[in-house]
Amino acid sequence: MEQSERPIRVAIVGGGCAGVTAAFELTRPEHRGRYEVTVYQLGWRLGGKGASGRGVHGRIEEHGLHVWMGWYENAFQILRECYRELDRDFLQAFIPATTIAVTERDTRGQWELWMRSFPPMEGLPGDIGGAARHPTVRDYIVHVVALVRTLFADVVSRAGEALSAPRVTGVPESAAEALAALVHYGELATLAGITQGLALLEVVITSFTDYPGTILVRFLDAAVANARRLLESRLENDPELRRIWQVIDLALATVRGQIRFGLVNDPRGFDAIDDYDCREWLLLNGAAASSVDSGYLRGLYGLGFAYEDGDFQRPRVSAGVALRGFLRAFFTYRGAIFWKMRGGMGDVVFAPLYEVLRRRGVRFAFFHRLRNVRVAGVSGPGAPDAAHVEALDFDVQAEIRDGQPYEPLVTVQGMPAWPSCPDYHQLVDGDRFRHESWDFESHWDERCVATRSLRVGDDFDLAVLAVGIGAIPYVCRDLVGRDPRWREMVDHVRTVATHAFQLWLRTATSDLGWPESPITLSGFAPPFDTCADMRHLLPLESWPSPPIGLVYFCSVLPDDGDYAEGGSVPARKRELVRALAVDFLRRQAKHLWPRAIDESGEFRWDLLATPVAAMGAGDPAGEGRFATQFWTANVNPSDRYTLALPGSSKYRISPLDATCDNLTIAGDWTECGVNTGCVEAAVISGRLAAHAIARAPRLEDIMGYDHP
Amino acid sequence: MSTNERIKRPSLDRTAPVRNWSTLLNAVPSGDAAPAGEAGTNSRGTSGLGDAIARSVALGYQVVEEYVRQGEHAARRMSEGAYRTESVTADTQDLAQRMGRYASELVGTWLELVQRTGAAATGPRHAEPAAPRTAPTSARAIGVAVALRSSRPAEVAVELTPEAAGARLVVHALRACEAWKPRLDVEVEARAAAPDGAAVLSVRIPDDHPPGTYEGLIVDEATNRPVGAVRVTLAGAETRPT
Repeated sequence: MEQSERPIRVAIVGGGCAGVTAAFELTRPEHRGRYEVTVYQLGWRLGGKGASGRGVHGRIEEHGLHVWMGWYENAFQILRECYRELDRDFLQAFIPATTIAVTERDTRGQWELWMRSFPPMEGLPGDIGGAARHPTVRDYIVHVVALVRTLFADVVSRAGEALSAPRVTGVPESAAEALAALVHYGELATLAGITQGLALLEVVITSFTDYPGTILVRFLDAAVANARRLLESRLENDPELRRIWQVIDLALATVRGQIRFGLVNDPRGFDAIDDYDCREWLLLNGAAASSVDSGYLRGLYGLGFAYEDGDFQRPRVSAGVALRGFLRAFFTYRGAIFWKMRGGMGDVVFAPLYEVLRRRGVRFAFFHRLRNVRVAGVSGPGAPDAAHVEALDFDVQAEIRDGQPYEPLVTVQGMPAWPSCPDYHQLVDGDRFRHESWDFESHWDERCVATRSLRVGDDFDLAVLAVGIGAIPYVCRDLVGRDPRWREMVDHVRTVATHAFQLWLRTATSDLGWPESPITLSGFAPPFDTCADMRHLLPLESWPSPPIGLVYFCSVLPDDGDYAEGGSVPARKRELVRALAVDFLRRQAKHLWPRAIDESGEFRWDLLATPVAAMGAGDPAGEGRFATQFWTANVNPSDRYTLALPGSSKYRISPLDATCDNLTIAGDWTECGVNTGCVEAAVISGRLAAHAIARAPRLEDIMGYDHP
Repeated sequence: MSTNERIKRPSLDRTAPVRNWSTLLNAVPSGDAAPAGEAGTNSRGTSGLGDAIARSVALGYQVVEEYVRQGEHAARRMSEGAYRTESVTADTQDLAQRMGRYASELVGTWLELVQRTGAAATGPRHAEPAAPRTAPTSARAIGVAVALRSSRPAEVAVELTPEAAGARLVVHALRACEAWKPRLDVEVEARAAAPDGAAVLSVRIPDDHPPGTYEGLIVDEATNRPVGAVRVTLAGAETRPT
């Protein structure tokens, strides 16, 4: 770092995963106090899209369903370091989850569950060194072929065929020619022949770098066609066989596609197929339409909120981003494929990070709403006054009594946590804010008590912009107006609103007909296609009479364009979500919980556990009981989920980009290697932002950044 | 406020993920997850660029080792009976040829990388002091002499980057793609022994050394930076250990 011996003042705007990660990196002890960090945060809590709060009876109230995946190496690494600094055991904060379920409609229109368990893998996510490695495209192909071979053995055994595959005959001069011979001599006419061919395929791919793509593609075509023909009559009557076949079909399409598109040697890695939609790309590479429409793929789209404008008829995600994500998710996870938090995301992630950052001297300025990033100077090399942020303009939403720092945490069951609403007692005029229902997190509630401008040189030196992409057009008018790349980014890196609700139940879900094991389910019926059994959280809440079941539902919220009359948007959307949830329970709950429906076919509203506070005027009855549960419409621009639409990656701007010489950006919307909305993308971007300022951490140490 | 007073972000070595050849193989695991204490310098006190080159070298070796591993894997699979016996020889020969070709390609790619990073290292953006030099790289031609002692026909190819000029050279033992083949040592004799002060690479090939292609790196002894490569192709009928 040039010019300065005094600490460099860094203003981080936005305290979500990306912002707090940047703060964590810049305040490592190794920097010896080089960076003096202040985090400016809207409202009363950190977390952004990952924020959670504690409500009545200490209920955990989330933005949606947050499940960490076993390949979130950077996110786990940062969090484990944080826990170590607090002398806490991170394994106490997470529960490994091995089962994922998807749903499919059977021929009678009924939804059927299909559950699959993933075996535990070596190590834990976030382990440093040791087995940590960066897989290559070739590794992935080999993994997929091995998976297909295993699944095929299952198919063969279900089909009642012997596994003793005949040896390849003829005089093949190489493994590749042996494959060609299999096709030529029609040996794929039996399932056993296909199994033999898959074993050969593995040999070819592991042995040769410039393997003969044409032969491999021919083999795959023949294998798929033969298997489909042989299994056709059985697929319809054997749902289990059909599902396994669909996975095989999709897996073979990815292998075929990776070979056909030359991804092994393409310097762009999976970005080479970024312009294709994933389903379109799979069809292009030979997947059957029924496989592409299967519950398996719908489930993956659902987990990734991959519906443009929230329209379930428009599933769209970049093939490159999706393939990278799928392959990492299924073949590089460590420990378990999923990790569920033992607490709200705010409790497990943001409260510990807040504690550590406070200890390190980071200042937090809550109740600061960013209004504008003022830019001066001229972009381009050699410009006498380079483009830079000259001021950050804020609305101050509330002042803290006696000028003290705001203390944001509460304690629930001995655990530091964030409340679902601000502590009005700490605020000047707090009672008035409560009576007037100030909504500090609403984009449309612009009330404030003061304004504040931070000027470069006087108040900060470098800035990290870590707000959601949805907020960029509103707070970066200068940059969007003057820089075509920023304009294109906000045009093409799109977002979608989401919604969620949580049910506390007086009956165990297993008594309603759900599986005993707590599952995470995706690909279910719109408009709430994803849900998870979260009963493990109940002991962490503080109900006088604890409920027995807890289930979260979430999905995209269709964009109906109804954002007029700004002030009332949150209330209107909230009412919309309530109505959608009630209708969903009436129409769809029976498919999940057959015994949650009474004789008249109505949802048994009495199953819902109601807080004591809600019973002041008598225990609500009927549909009215839903009003005592929790639901949310995530429609604020910065709360919207970042999509990875086909062709959008090239419009992302990297945290390493230096359009302004004193600004970097962070968020899952940036070019961060992963390029899709998730915790890991946000954390990587935060680490990249720190690198842009301190040249640390090294890019090579950011797991998965340099990934095909 | 004048622009001179503003604190600016440091310049960076790169601003995008590397998804190309260097990621085709596993990256070198780093046991040092701690951040740099000072910009551009890691906790071991060596320069980031030096680290990058060192990692590139390690990756280079990994390329060769990876192909060895793959070759062994293929051989093992073949020995398990997936093919007819007569096909094994042809397959393995084919594989060996491919591996030799890949290794040669790697050296070219790697040298290109070294040249590029070497150029970057002396560029104005990097504050770390340049490695000590006995002569400016652009001021003299690069020359080496090769002394070959072999009872069989052998071809020696030497590639050097401009940074080799004036440097005291060391040559790593040459390795074949096949893991079972012994390494081939190359000595660098005193500069004074050659005309014009050029170094002399002395290659002595034992009579019983297996034929094949052997590759090794030439490094600058002062900085341990790679500055070139040597490739020896030794003619003869391929034989394999039983």
